[in-house]
Amino acid sequence: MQGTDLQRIFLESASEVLETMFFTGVAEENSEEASGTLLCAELSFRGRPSGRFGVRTPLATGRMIAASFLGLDESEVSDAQAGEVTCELTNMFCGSVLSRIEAGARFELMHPEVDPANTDWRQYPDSIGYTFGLEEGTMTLWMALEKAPALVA
Amino acid sequence: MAFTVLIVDDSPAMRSFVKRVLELSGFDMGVCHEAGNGQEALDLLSKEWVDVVLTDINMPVMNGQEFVQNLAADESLHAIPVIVVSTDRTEDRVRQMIALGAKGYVKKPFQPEELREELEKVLGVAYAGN
Ligand SMILES: [Mg+2]
Repeated sequence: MQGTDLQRIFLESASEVLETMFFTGVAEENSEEASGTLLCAELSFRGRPSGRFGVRTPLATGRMIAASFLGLDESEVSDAQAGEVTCELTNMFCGSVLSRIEAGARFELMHPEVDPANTDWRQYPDSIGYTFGLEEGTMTLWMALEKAPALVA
Repeated sequence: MAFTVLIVDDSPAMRSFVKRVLELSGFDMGVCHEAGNGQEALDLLSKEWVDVVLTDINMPVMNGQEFVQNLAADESLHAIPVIVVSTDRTEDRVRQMIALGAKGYVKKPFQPEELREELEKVLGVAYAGN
């Protein structure tokens, strides 16, 4: 699949999920990941293909999104809640992206988890990611595909 | 009459979102119970009657598929309508959950109205039969 197709798919998924359930949206299609403390969550998925999917966002953006999702004031949102909501976001982005890449194909999404080590997805060999500008802050969606196991003769 | 609802999801954030959407949507909700997985939900249902269950699929301990199968196999619980709320959008999966006994399916992300409409559709069907 061409990079531009994937970027469009990531963009459509990010817009759909953020607008439908998080009351925000993508304001800028190409952006640089914001510096500062990041909130990162990822999950692995099984299917054809299998791989990992993750979300990275500045902590402040994560808290803002969590507040609107939970109907709370930002000052009431704990770091744990911001993490939980980012995990849920990862889950929905991943489901949306995979259904656009392989319509009708069956995938099993594993439990999303916050990654306190903020692992850089670019270290994975077969990976791609896009950063979108939101009304406030940025959000990076990335995906790394597992290589099919080599056939042993 | 207000409906008693059970929300089953391993994410507390998602449970509180669903609950808030139901409150804001104008759905006639009375007591709202919550459970973190299928087993917790079965434990709760052994003590409390509910009018409708909303369940996630991917959960630890007992997932939504096993939970729906357990409900369908239980004489005293199989009449409770279940709506699946999941990120899994494949038609295969929807068919499978309906075949196992679920009465409705809402795909995440969903608009608040979609959830309310599915609930009213499912409860309408369930109550017309009584
Ligand atoms: Mg879940």
